[in-house]
Amino acid sequence: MRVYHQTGFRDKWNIESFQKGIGDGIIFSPINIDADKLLALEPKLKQTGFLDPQLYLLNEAKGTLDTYPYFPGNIKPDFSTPDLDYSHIQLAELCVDYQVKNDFQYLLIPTRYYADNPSSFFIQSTDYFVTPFCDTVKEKGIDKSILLSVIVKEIMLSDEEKRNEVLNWITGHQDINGVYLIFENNFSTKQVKDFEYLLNVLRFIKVLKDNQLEIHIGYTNTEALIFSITMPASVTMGSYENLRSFGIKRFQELENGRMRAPRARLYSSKLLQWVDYQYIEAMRELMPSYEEYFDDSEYRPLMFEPEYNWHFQKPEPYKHYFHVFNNQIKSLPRRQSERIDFIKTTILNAIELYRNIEKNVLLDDDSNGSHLPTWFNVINAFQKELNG
Amino acid sequence: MFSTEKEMSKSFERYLRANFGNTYLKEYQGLFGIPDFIFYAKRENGISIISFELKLKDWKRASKQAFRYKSFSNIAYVVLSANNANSAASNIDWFERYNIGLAKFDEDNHFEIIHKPILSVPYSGQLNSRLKDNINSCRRKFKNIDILINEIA
Repeated sequence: MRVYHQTGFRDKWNIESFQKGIGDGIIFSPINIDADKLLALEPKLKQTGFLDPQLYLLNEAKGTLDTYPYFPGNIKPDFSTPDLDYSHIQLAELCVDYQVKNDFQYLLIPTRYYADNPSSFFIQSTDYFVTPFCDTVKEKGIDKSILLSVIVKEIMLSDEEKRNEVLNWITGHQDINGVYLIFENNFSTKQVKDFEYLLNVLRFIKVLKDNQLEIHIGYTNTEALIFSITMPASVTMGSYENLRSFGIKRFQELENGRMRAPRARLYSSKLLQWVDYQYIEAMRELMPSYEEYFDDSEYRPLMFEPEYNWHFQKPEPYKHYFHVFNNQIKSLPRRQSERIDFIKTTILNAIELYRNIEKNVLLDDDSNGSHLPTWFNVINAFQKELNG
Repeated sequence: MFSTEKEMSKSFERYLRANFGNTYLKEYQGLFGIPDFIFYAKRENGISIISFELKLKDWKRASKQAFRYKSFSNIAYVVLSANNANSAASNIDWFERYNIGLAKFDEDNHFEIIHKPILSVPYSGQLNSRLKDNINSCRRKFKNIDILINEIA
């Protein structure tokens, strides 16, 4: 299973880590990197990754998105949905050409985002994106795998009719090799703790896998470990929280939107959690062996200096995470049944470690192991379904 | 019986001012969590900081918040509305384990300490210093601090 860097703001941290051999490829983010700058990047940074075209909001020119030739506003000012009727082929050609010029490993078919998908969503997506895109690839004789971007909303998982509709739509395309799945995350907690949701995600991916599609899951956080039991082709790791959980806000031009700065956290592969650094300071005071709960990396000695000035914009915690999480994913067994048992054991170990920590340090629900029992139960339930 | 936390907070502020002095900060931000009140006392051996988390109920949630305040405070108290304090009081070992204070407070300004924690060093020197920098310029007077602090280590 591969691990891609989900890039965004401060993509240089991902690029630097990738250049050190961490991660299998990079997913580039047009709102964060100018189109010409991306073209000029050295080829080996791009040849194992892909571009997320980010046409989610069609004509919203967030960041550097309008520097891309396929950005609808560059085809026609004030581009709107009706304009797709006569511009979809041009848009597809520009989007394919740009991706081919960069020589990415995969070609991505864009998708749009709606708060509530209109009834015509799938028909329009086929007509405006999938068909012209695949036709263009065929006509130009391009020999690259094609991935279909799909934003999966919670309702598409919980509502059987909607789930079948989206699954039928995805599996109905013969020219695609796989899907780039983006699970919309509206949860208020740092980790996903919803049993039904997680189990439905696993079931959803399994159907696509059963249809021989290559599965790439974007915007994953620690729950990538759970998703890994469906044996996807890849999961992602990102620096800031909005790269480890998909929300449309990141792509909107928000006015007066002063964002609250997140707190600095450190990922622990043993605890399966991002722990607020203030708790690490409490652990240092109260637990002589506190360092054992955290992974080693070249960044750790600096971060564990008492004078280290923790801040969510500092690179070390994220570069540490890339190193640790990449290793964690790479250490997973290749066989599904062994992987399931391995992750279950990892979860049980984490629960035990938390028991020790909470003898001394009282953690809040975004740093503790409150997600772990749910995760264990989800995996058990999925394992039962697999074993029929 | 308080109907809202806001009402409880107003009463508690009056109580705090009348009984301990006006050396406090209300809902001070930028640390680790936002305590309802941070009471401070400049004493000969340094500044002692006591944080308070007020709640009508849900002592467990309050205790998690109070534990955060120990990053910058010498003492952190959970103050519950008196009519909802029984369940917390029956879990006193929880408060002892984490060295968090527990008190109850009612609309008649009756404040009763159920567990008085031991004065301890804040976990984060940086946050504690940041807070003290803010407090240092203040000349306000405190009183009756011994009621809140258990100095036996």
